Amino acid sequence: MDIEKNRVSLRIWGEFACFTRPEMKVERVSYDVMTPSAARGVLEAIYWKPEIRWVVRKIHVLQPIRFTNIRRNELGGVGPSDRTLKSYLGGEKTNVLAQVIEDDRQQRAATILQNVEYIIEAHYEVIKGNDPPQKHYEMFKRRASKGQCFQRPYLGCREFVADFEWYEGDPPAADISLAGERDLGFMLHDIDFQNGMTPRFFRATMKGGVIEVPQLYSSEVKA
Amino acid sequence: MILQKLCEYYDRIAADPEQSIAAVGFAPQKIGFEVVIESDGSLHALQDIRDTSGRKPANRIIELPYGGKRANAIAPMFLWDKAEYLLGWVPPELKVEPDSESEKDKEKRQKKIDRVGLCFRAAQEFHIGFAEELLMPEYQSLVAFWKNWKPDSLTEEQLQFLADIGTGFGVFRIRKSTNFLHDIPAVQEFWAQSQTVAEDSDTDGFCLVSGSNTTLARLHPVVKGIAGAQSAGASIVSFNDDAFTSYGKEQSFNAPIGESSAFKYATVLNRMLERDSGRRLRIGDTTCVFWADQSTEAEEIEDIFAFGLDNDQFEDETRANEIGAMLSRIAQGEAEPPGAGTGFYVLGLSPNAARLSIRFWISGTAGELIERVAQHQARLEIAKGPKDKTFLPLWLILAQTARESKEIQPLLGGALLRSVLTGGRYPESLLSAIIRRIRAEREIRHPKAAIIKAILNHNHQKEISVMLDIERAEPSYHLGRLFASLERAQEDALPGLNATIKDRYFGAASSTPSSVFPRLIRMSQHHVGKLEAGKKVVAEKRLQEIMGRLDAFPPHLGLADQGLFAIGYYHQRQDFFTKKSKKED
Repeated sequence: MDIEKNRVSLRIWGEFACFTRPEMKVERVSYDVMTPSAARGVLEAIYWKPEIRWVVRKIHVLQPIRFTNIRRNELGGVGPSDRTLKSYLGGEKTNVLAQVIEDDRQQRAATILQNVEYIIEAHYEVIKGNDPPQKHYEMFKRRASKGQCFQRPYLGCREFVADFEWYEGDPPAADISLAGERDLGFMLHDIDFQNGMTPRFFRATMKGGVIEVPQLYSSEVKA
Repeated sequence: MILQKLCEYYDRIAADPEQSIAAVGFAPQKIGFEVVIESDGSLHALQDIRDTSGRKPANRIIELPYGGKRANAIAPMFLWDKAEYLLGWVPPELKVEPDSESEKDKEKRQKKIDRVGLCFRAAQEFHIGFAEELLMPEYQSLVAFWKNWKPDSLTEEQLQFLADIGTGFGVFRIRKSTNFLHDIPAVQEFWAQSQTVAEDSDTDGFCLVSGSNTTLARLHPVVKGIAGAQSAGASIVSFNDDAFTSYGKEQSFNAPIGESSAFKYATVLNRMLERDSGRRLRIGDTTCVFWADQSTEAEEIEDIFAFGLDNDQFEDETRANEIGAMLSRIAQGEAEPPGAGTGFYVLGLSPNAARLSIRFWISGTAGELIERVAQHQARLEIAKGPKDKTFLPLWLILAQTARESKEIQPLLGGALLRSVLTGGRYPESLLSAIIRRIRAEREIRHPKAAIIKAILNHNHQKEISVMLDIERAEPSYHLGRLFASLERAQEDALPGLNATIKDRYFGAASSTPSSVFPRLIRMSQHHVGKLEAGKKVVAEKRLQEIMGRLDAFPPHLGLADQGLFAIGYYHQRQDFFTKKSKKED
């Protein structure tokens, strides 16, 4: 399988974004740039098949990094789990099952990014199926060009929607404020769902606005 | 990045022989008294060791072995604690039986008394438990004390002493020894050792601050000293509701951070948040700390930076003047800001009940941040009276937007500081809030004029001079001047009026000039007519000069123009005063 033929680029942009740092996920603080798992989520929102797996290779940052603050009302509890639901589905419990926002309201502050624009460079690996690998490339290209998506892609949080377009050719130059090399610290790469949902982190560095993303299971990525 | 930088800062202080900071397993505590025991373990005395140099005796802050948060559980501390734990002392308010005590209250009170007994016994067991590991005579004396002490053997005098001492904790000392028991190096070493051993039993994992595999912290230490937060302290990293957790992780395992990293960031943050650290500022509802990368100039850099944002905290006047002069030179480009290559970090925290939220995080080189602060102060420069300040602190700017401090918009402080430090636009709501206050107060004093000038200059690219500029092109500026002149004519003609035209017409004049100016000018004919000859000529000339620059009275002024109107008014008024003082000279 020729991975080079499976390469795609996608330009995405939006008014706000919040790629939450795990250590400050209650009073949310965003990472400086998009995380690989957020990029994967965007690609999957446009095109996802059990036959393929998206691998994010590079993230280009095109706009200067700007933060702002917001404060929102949110819910403190979580919805019922499958286990609790079982007794309802089995008919053992019949009382009203509901969450009431007035009883469980939490005010949370967030430090989020403003005016972001990225180019995601990624490829896909075919993990099963006998279709020609090129089929997925064409389908993704067609869908991205037409603006089709399974669900609206978003920038870290569901409420920060992303606009996107199919992108070909060399990425444009990054903003001058991003010149040089910048250490972004340890950043979430993705969650390892095969191994007990372990988060995996990598040391992100941005060189001239470009972040190279290592492979999820390479030695640079630690869990 | 925030926690990493804090940990790096901790490591730098810890490595610096000139500074001290609590080591792992230790934390600063407020100590009020000492328990002096004889070498045979009997109690010699209780002594007050508070600092009495100030007006009120203050608890001493001493670094002591720390066993973690206690919350509601009974958990004794090593070699220090409350009198309830150390001596089994029952606070007097629990002993007295109130007149009309219900059965339930009595039960509650009895429960509290019983609890003291439990605390004492827990502390007793805890300390005796180390008897075989700490064989030095001093510790053995303490063990003897714990074995023999009966809580009810406190004398009347000692009971009174404990009731008087207040909030402080107690520590131990053996009579004739100059050291406290916890100061003995071997004891400290033992404690540090026992802490690391205890950690090993917990969950291991990847620490996303240090990048190594270590024991992960389940709960993080609290941060104290944030204005508006709970006084017991609040956490940056905490997961107190189900909705905050994900992927089936519990508590702080949602944010894998090692025990030692958690300890380091919290310790260094708490230290910067101490009252007299000099690295703490309060802006609106945000408490902010800042620090420079270790360098020879760190203190100088931090002083200049703090002065540019809050010059009120400098009590030493000569030092303040020195730094102020330095800041002016930097603003005028006559001096290079210090610390060109030194990293500088500013962290703004604001409380949300038991949690802390990061309001902003700004990192850059000290040179560029100081340069921006200096530019900000330069933008604020405007003609002023002899009593007005040269440099405006940020809190004073925020105070101009509301009647009292609690009415200031919560997000404004952070946004303002962010704009100052990044060199970006001032928050848009700042101008409208100040214009609104001016209309309500019908008064423009130096701080408001200075801020409007800075905003118009930076957000609206209007070059505004420090002093009156009669050549300005914008009519709104001259409308402001005209209004000041009309008011002046009225004041001169009818001294001692209760309500001048300013009180009645300021708002309308600055927003809808065409509706009031014709009337004001008609009125001014009467005022000018009443003036004596010399003053009459001056007033007429002035009005003529200003009117000559106006074609028409616009029906409506936008926000920026209302700002210009205010500046014109302020400039013209300042001009009256400066001219007068010159004559007197």
